[in-house]
Parts: sequence; C-alpha cells; structure tokens
Amino acid sequence: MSTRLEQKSKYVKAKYKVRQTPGDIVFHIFNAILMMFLVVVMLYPMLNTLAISFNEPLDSVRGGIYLWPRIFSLAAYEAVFENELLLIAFRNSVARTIISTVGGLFVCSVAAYVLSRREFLLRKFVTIYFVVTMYVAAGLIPTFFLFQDLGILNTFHVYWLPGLFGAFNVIVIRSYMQGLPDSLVEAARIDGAGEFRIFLQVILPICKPVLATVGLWIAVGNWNDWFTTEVFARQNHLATLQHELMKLVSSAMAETDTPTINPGEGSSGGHIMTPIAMRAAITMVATIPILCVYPFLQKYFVKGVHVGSVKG
Amino acid sequence: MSSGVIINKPLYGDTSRILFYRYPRKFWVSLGGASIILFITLLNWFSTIDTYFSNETFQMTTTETSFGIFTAFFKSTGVYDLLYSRQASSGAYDPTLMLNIFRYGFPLLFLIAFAFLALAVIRYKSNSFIKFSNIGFAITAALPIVFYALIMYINAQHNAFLIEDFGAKNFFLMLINSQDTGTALAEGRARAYLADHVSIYNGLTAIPWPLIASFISILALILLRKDDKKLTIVWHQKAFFLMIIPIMIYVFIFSFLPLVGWQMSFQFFQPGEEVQPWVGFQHFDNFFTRGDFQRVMTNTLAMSMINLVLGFTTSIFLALMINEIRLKKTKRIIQTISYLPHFLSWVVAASIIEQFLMGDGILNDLMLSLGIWDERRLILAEPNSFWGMLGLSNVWKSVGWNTIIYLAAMTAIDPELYESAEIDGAGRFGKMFNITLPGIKSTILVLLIMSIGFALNAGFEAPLLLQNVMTRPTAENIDLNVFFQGIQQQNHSLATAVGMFRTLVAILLITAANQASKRFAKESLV
Repeated sequence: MSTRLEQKSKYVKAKYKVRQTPGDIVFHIFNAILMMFLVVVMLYPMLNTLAISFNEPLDSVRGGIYLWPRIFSLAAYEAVFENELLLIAFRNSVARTIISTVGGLFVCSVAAYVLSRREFLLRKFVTIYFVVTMYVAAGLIPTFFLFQDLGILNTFHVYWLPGLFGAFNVIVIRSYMQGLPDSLVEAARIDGAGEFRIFLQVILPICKPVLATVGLWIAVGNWNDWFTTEVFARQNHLATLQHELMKLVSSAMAETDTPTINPGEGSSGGHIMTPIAMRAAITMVATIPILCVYPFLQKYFVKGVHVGSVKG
Repeated sequence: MSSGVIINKPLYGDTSRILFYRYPRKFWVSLGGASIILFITLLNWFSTIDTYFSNETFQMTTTETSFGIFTAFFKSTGVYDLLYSRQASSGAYDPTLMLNIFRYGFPLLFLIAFAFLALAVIRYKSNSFIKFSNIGFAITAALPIVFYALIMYINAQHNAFLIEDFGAKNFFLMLINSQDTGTALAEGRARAYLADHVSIYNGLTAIPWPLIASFISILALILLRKDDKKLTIVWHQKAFFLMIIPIMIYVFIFSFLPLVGWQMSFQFFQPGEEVQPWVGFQHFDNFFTRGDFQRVMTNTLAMSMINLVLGFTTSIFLALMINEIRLKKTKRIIQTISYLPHFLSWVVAASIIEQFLMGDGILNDLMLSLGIWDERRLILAEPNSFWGMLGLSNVWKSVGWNTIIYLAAMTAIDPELYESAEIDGAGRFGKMFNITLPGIKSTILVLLIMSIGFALNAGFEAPLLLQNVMTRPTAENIDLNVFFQGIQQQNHSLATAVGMFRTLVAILLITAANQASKRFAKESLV
C-alpha cells in the first residue's frame, strides 16, 4: 500500500517537473517572496529585541538598532539578574509552570481515562458536566470572591490550584485514548490489574504524544499568564516574570512612547539603565525558556494535535 | 453499551463473605442517603451555631432611582409588581411579596419534597430490613425538612426574616434568634464576626445542602427503585467513581460554585457586609442606559468583526500558499517559524509591537523612507488606529497557528482528485478553487460559525495591554469594562451584571451557532 502511494507521488512529482509552465514559475517566485516576507515579519521583531537587549542601554535610546547591537554590552542582563524581585519572579514562574503542568496533566488524564471507558455508567452525564464548564464562566468578580473564601487569594496556591482541570484538554486526551485498542485494557484486566494500575502502567505510557501536546499547552498558558498575578496575587513575593514585564510595558505605554532616559531606574556596572533596554532584556528572559521547550516536544506535538483534531 | 466483562461475571466467589452482599442493596442506598442528610444537618448545625448572635431584620435600603428598559419591561409584564410592590407613599421598595414567596413558597417546596419521599418509601416492597431502613431513612430525611418548615413559620410570625437565610446554615439558629431580640453588644459582635467571615458564599454553607441532599437521595431512591443492576454496576465500577468523583467535586467548586456569585448583580454588593440589599435589575438598567453601553458594545463588535474577517482571510490564504510549497523541509521550517509568535505571551507581544510602532521604531523609519508618511506617527496614541492595529497584531500572533487546522484538513483531501483535475486541464488556481477550498469548506464553516458564537469575546489581554489613556475610548470592550469597573473601581455588582450579561448572550449565540452548524454543515461542535 505504502509503496504504491510512494510510486504514485513520485509519478506525480515527475509530471510536475515536466509541466512547469511560465505561470507556475511566476507563482513560485511570488510564493517564495511571500514566505520570505512572512519569515521576516515573524522573526524580525524577536531578533530586533534580542539585539536591543545586548546593546549598551543608554545607546539604545537613540534608536536605529535593527539586527545587530551597535555597542555590545551585557549591562541589561546584569541588571535583570541583580534585581532581587526579578529573581523571585523567575523562581515563581518556573515553580508554577512545573507544578501546574504535572498536576494538570495528571488530573486531566485521569478524567480522560474514565471518560474514555465506554462501560462507565455516568460517562455521558460527566462529559456534559465537564463540557458545560467550557461555555459557562462565572466571571471575574465572583471568581475573586470564591478565591477569597477558599483562602487562596494572595497565596502561591492561586497559581496552580484553580487551573488543574481543563475541559478542552480532557476532551483532547479522551479522543486520543478512545483511539487506542480496547484489547489493551481487557488484556490487562484479565491479568488482574486494577483500574488505576491499568491507567498508570498501560494507558499513560502510550499516550505520550497527546500528553506532550497538552502539557505544552498548559505550560505555555502558565508561563505566559500575568493576569492571575495582577488580580489574585498582588504581593512582591508572588511576583511572576510576565507580570513584572507587564508593569514595565504598561508604564512605557502610558508615556505614549516618548523616548526618555530615566536615571531613577538605577545603574549597573557604570551603565545608566534605560526602560527600553530593561524591557528588551526581560522580554528575552521571559521568552527564551518556553521557546527552548518547544523543539523537544515538537515531534510529539504535531502527532498529538493531528490525532486530537481528527478525532475531536 | 457493552458492560459484559465486568458486570456479569461473579468476581467474588462467596459473596456472603463481603459485607456489601450480606444486605440488600436498597439498604445501602437508604443508609447512604440518610447518613448524608444527617451528616450535613449536623455539620450545618455545629458549624454555624456561634455565628449568629443578633436578630437582623431584612431591609430594603436602596430607593428606586432609575427607570431603564428592564424595569419598564417587567412593569409591563406585571412580574415587577409581584416581586417589588411599591409603596405609594414612601417611594421605597416594599419587599412584602418577595418575602411572602420565600416565607410560604419554601415550606411548600419542603412539603412537596416530603410527599415525594413518603411516596418513594411507601412504594418500597419486600423484606423487613428494607422496611426498617426505610423508616430510619424517612425520619432522618424528614428532620431537616420539618425544621425548615418550623423555622419559616416562626420567622414569618416574628417578621424577622433574613432573605439570605433560606440557605441551610441557620435554620436552627434562627429559632434561637427569633426569641432573642439581640442587644447592641451582640449585634456589634456579630457584625465584627461577619465582616471577617461571611461573604456571598458563606464558606459554602449558604447553599441549602440538606435540601439538595434530600432531593438527591429521593432521586436516587426513585431511580434505583426497580433497578438493582445499576447499583451492581456502580459497585463494580467503584474504581472509576473513586477516580472521577474528586475531580467532579473540584470542578463543582471552581466552575459551578462561582455562579452563586451572580446574585451580586441583583444586589448592591459591598464586601464584608452581612446583608446585601437587593436592587432588582437596577445594575442592568444602569449599564444599558448610561452612555458607556453604546461605545463599549460598538468597540466589542467592531473588534470581533475585524478579528473574524482578518483572521479568517489571512489564515486561509496562508494555508493555501504553504500548501503549494513543494520542498518538504522548507515547508516544515516555515511552519515552525510561523508558529513562533503563538508561544509568546501577550505581554511579550505587546512589548514587541510597541517597540515596532514607536515614534522612532522600525515602522516609522520604513514609512518615512518610502515616503508614505510625511511625519513620524505615534500609532499607539491614535484612537482611530486602535482597531486596525489590534486586528493586525492578532493576525501576526495567531496566523501561523491557525493554519494548522486548515493544513490538516488539506492533507485529508484525496490526491486522486488533483490528478483527475489535472487530466481535465485544470490549472493551479483552478485546482485551488475547485478542489482545495471545497475540501476544507466544512472546516471553514464550522470554525466560522464557532467564531460568530464568540462575537462578544473580543479578547481581553491584547486590548488591555495595547491600550492607554488616549486610546481607551476605542479600546474599551466588554471584558475591559468588567475589569475596569470591577477590579479598579470596586464596582462589583455592576461588573458582575455586565459579565453575566455577556456570558448569557455568549451562551445564546453559541447554542444558536451550534444548531446552525448542525443544520448547515451537518457537524456539531459539542
């Protein structure tokens, strides 16, 4: 079957090569230009920020830095890593991301496993019960008072506890599990394994692709979240990286971008720190960790999304 | 439903050794229901016995100030007069009828519940065990109901009814309260205590748990009356239940319990106050009649329309173009790069966008050197450019990611279709328009209908981070309005009302969209 398909695609390719009309060539050139434009638009802002973060802070204010720092300097990064609040923020961000990802994956996959078993008595009811939460949200203020009553307001728990369960994630994992052969579970049952053991030792290991996918979603969501800090955890020891960055961005935004030198920002190693350099450096610190995770998971990722979207 | 494997086989050889099998299953149901009710009744009793010291009388403090469309509507239907019959002389709300509904309606409800229970008990057949447990069950289940009725009656006599107190927490204590008129000292202590401890959720005790438990038990009794098999299934699937029930409780607490807070939108809510005065639809009236509404609504709809149109056209176009790339590796790399902005947070994205649009940023440099603009512009400070800027920012951040689903749909198209089209002499664009686009039509349709369902969700993070004082008039959509009202101006009730309105409209839209999708695309989202 596969060889036939390969042959066919070879055949098709060969035909294309023969039938390259001038119109095709024009189209491909146009397409190539479009893709180049796309790559530039997607990559340039990141590279530009990277260049600014490595530039001499005071010099950055003059503008005109594109892809390469004009005067190379690590002052901005030094300032970031000397700032105690930012270190706390970094620690908090990492901690909450890890805890929520592990906990969230566990909770979601347990729910997904139960819902994927066709013999489960309340399957339909529980599915509806979960799906409803995707559409009905109480809103900001009731949530705020709920957190207050539960006593998780202004504690670290507010970062991981409310987000453990995600109905959409459960549905995605469930679809993947439903695609697995039933005989796996039955065989394990005959061998005398309990349900929880079947889940942990039989089902979970073969769900790696979808777990990687959903795990990445949860991790990205948690790492990028600043709003929880803004509303539910307004204390210095609970700072997160994105929230610190947000404060810098919105303060700069309020000035409606007049490039001002702010000597009050503090100096580092003889350099005067400027908001623009500081922001670029924090942006990099807040972005690079999550971008580092992505390539490792990408091979699972496409597979997981694909299956999820087909079955979902 | 195939349940053969686990149910029919006798997993346990000698069932009489196991306690569960020694008694009829109905016994366990009755025992379970009875103990739940007993437990919760006692819990409520003990947990709240020290919280009530004083005798708070229910008062409507807010006077009628606005005559918005909701009030007008309800006045016209007569429901308004039923709930808030207005005293002609004072001009204040007189909640007599409302109170009467609570006073006499609830006892009535309990009586009906009791009748149901009795019916369920009477219809039980067979041996003495069950009869015994039925009596025990009936007594324990009836206890809270009798108490409720008693308290309601006494309170009606004393005219000292707290509207919040149809919750379970104080049915016993109100009995004490109604005899003790309460000194100033006791009242002060109560206020101090309540200010610390009581809010809308009352630590989960504001909900009439005994009532709910009674109903659940009755429901279980009725459902399981004939069907012993179901209970056997439950027993054999206990592992599943053990796994899913904690998660269901968790979901209840974090997703459904906050809905109790929606009552705030009908109150004049102030945190820490024990009695929140009810104001009917006043907040909705305020929201719909004040000048903000039109602006906020226009912004919301405009933003979501721009997002919809720009988002769909660009991502379909990009998907088509990426699909035309012949080199597999290049295609891969371009896809990976186009996903990149999706993984940035909106904070980072806003920072980058700001960098890009700054007075001496790259866009200004470019536009000046190309001669399109005459002078440097501060896009972020221009209210008129905000919608377009937001739309393009959204495109930048999500266009690559959105192509995934279209590209996945395109791979599902049968390659033979292309071949036969080629034989028929179709060119590149012919194939694109006659095969690829129809092939992903259902995907597009479903996504489109779904986005229309989210018309009032015009995004929160992006506009919040990209707006500033100057652009706020065009940037403030419903979500931002809720945020500014609720968190920054501490106007909790109004914000809740606006949020509730949005959620309800969104549910309506999504349901309609789902129906439409079922009918036209033969595909359901849910």
